[in-house]
Amino acid sequence: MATLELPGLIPYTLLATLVAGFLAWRAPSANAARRIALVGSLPAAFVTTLMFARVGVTSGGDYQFVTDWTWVEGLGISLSFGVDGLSASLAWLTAILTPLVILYSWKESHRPQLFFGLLMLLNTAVIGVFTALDLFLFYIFWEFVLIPMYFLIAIWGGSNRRYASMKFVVYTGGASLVMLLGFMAAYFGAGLGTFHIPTLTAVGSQLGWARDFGMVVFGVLAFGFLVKLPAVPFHTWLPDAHVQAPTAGSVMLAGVLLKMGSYGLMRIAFPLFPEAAMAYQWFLFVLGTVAVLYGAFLCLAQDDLKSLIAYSSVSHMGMITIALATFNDLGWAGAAYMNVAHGIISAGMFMAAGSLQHSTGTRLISRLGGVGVKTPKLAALTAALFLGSLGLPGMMGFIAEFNIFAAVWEAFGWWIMLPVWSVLVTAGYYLWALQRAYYGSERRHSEVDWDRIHDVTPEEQAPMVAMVLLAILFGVLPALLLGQMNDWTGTVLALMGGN
Amino acid sequence: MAETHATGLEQLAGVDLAAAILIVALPLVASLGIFLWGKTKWRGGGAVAVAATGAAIVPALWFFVRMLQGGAPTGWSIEWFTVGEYTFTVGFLLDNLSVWLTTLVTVLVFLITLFSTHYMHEEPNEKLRRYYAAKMLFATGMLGTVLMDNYLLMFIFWEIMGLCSYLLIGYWYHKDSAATAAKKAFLTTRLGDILLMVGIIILLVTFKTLSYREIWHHPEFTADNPALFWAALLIFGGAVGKSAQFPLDIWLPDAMEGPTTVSALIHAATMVKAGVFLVARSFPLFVLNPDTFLVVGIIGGVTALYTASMALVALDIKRVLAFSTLSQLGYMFLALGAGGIVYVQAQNGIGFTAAMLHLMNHAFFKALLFLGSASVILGMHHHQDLREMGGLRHKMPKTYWTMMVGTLAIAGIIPFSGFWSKDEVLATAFKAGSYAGVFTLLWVMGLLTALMTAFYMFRMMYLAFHGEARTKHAEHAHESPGVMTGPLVVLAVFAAVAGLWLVTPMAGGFEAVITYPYSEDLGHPHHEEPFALLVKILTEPKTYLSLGVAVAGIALANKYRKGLPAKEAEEPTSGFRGLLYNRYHVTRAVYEPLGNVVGVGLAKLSDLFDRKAIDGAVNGVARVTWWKGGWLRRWQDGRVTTYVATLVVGLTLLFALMTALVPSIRW
Repeated sequence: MATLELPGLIPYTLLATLVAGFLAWRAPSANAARRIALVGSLPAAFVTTLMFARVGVTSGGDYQFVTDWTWVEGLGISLSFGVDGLSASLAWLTAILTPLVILYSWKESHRPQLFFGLLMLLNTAVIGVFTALDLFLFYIFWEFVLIPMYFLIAIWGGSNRRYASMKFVVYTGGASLVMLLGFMAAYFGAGLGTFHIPTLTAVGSQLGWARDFGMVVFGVLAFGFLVKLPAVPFHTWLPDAHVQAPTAGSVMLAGVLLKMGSYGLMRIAFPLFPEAAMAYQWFLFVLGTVAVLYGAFLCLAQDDLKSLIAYSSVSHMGMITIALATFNDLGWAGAAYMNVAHGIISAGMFMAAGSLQHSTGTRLISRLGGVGVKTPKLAALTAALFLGSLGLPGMMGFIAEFNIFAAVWEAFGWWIMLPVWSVLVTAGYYLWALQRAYYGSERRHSEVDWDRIHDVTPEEQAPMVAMVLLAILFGVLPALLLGQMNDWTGTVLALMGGN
Repeated sequence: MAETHATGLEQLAGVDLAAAILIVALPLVASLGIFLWGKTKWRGGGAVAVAATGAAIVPALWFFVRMLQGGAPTGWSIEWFTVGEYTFTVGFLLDNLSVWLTTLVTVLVFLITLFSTHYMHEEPNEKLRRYYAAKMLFATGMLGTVLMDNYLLMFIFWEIMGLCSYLLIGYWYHKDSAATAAKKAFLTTRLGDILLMVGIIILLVTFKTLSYREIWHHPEFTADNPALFWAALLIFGGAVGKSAQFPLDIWLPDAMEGPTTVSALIHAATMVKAGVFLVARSFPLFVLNPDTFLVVGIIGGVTALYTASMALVALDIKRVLAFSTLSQLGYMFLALGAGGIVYVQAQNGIGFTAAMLHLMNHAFFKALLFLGSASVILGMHHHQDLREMGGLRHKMPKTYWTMMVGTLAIAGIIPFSGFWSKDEVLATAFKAGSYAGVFTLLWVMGLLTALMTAFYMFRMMYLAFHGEARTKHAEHAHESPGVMTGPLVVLAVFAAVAGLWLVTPMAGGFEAVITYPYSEDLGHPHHEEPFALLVKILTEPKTYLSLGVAVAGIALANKYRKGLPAKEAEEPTSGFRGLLYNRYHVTRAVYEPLGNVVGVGLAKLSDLFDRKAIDGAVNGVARVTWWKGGWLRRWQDGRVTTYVATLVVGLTLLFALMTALVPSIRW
């Protein structure tokens, strides 16, 4: 299968989503705003599902649904969009998470018009990141993600929201400036006069970058993406952002925003500078291993459930770093799979943490204990999502984990014995948290009004159930997702190999 | 999805294929149904569970009968997913080993589920739903583990069993002890599972397949590859975790927090056997590097003795049985280890047979004993301390007599089932001693274990059933209804006669059916005629040595006929008995420090480092920048306009910069 041109599909879908967001913002009432947002999120959900299915049944190795409009001719900037086996699932995940998050936040009463408007802007920008095929366009969407996320934290966040939102913007905004420098260097260095990603990556391995130039620019690009991932030691913005953000913000942040970092690495940094990336192989392996283990141990020490889940993201995204360092099919397919697996499962986990807050008034494990008897549904859903995240076979996290560890054995041999222990620590922190918060005898804390504890509400339950079912679906039928990822890894690894 | 052909096997098709799928699907569908409708419509789901497990026996017997008639192994597999050059498949391998074990499992699951319907009848429907849904999912996991034809699928079902074990140990999750025990069980077995996963990955990358038979027939499946030695040991690591062998034995006694019917099924009759099955299934891999059998045998022998000693002083009826389970599982690994050595040295598969026979016998008698103890516990109104019992023999005669059959079986008294398998286990260990000296020591340890087994089992029986009632619970104890005693009687019959298969010409005797190599294409199985084997056993002096040891153990337990001697009535805290009672303090001396000091300590240290060093540095940089640049402070105020303005200005500057750099620009 070759490239499928369908000019306009992606940009117009994005435009429609953006317009819906604008209408929600200007809506006369809260009720109108959330309805507009929910209905307005459906076209994107539909179109991305279609794209996801099409890439799944045909080749995910070539770009599909391509739009290629000239924008600034002299600079070689184009309005290029398209999806392949790497990005179709991420765009789809973004577009289906949004309606679910809107549903989950149905009862939001603080400035609801702006809230739902911003969610739709976020939706547009993130899908834009995953579908843009022009470095310049990519950068614009990348920056636009910051705006709604910043306000979601700053306006609807917790008590320390100003600090957290500033830290988020300055830290990741600063990193994206570095990334932009990298883009410029690649643009001028390549000397092709184009920002077109497929054009650049197709010749990335043949451009004959000067060794030092390649090493530096890859390093600059990787830094920009690794902060977003986030990789240790540039991760401390994440727990603060998560803890302060409203549930909807956390869900989008963990579910899809972090994947912008790994996506950038896979789409731009590695294919553009394959030789330099290869030279960083061991560095990346060590970086990932540190993140995996250190992140897991950090989780053990957390009292706030949200902060625990945030650090677990650091650990799981470390798996992606390790996977990319393997430079083999298993690892790259595993990384792409982990993107989606972590997206689905951590999104669900943040909903569960939000519901715990709503049900009991706290997320602090030390103030809970034995609440499972009062909240059996929430306890069961939390357990299911935690088990999914710790890589229980039958759910999709396992497929990602197994592929990645197999890739590590193939590439690094016995060094597998370092990161593999994170599996145990991960099981430890999740089960320990479950045990202390939900199970065991009632431990009434003075800060928790025990009589007012209630189980999860239907509009909060439904999106979580959807996440669990998706995690099981892709755990039982991984070919639904792996088929297209295989096509993509085949293409990209061949490109990087230079043939 | 294309059908692929498993190496050199007759393909499963049509009705046979449907039957194989049904075995796994029946409990799975029941589990889903109970989960959805168990709370209301299906009133807990007990009836559905009994029906589904009962129905699953039919296709299992279908294959079992064909196996007895000498039918050849069959297989079937389809592609599941592909990554790069690796193709993963889903498929069945129906050879004698899996068919025999499947039949055993379906029968046990059915009997124990039937028993549950009364044992658990006081529980509300919404909890029963959880119980039966997990139990049915467990059955799916166990049957899948046995029937799958490759390591990955085996591992997936293996982990599903682990999940159900976790859920069922934590069935009464509002109890702190249950919640802790569930977590401990999951984490300890997970430790083994990590090793197993690495082992599987080594096989995958080496052979580009995980199908058992494709691996065994692979041209590179030779002793030359040192990674295969480690793969075998890593796989054994998984077995050690699942079958709770030393040093990962700590979770099983605590797992008794679950309902007794769960202990009977998962923590005695089936799941803990999966480790033994895994080693049996991976036997060709171990045969490649016979040194691995030393590890298997030593771990098994040590566990057998070490855990049997704990049972000597236990005061809780379920704990006695739990320690006993560990010890008997140790026997099975001892048999596999010794049997492997004997096979490699003398091409004799009897040790493998002995391990499998003991697996089957133990499944029957230990399920019986656990269900018997459940009957006692129900009769005693949920009291399970042996000190509170006494004299139950007259109040619960059916429970007593059936449990006595189980006790005679586990003690190894002729002709009850345990005698035949235990005798063969010890005989194999002795024989292996002539090839590897350590097995002579292990044989002595095995004999000592046999002595202890007979002792603690009769001690338990005497304390519970003999003498006078010591509390009013014991006085008012009552026999259980037929739905509970029925399964006890059936299990008692099996516990009595199952071992006789070894010396009965049914399908040529047990050794002809279950032996190693378990398929002709791996070599020629050698086995003795059942009658010749009988003569050999009865004329062998060592047979009478192990019988004598068992009788001595029973005699030593005599002093408990009238209840516990006064000095043993308190929970021992010091001395040798205290050491045994506290399981050699291993948990407190090793595992708790490891978890609390190393694990939590590292966590606290990481947290401190993260907050002070890493985030401290980040905030430090930020503070300096803030202080230096006053304009940043205005940016900080968080108003929409400021931020958007910044972004717009930034982008404009960028465009301007590029216009300047690239002269040919046209907007």
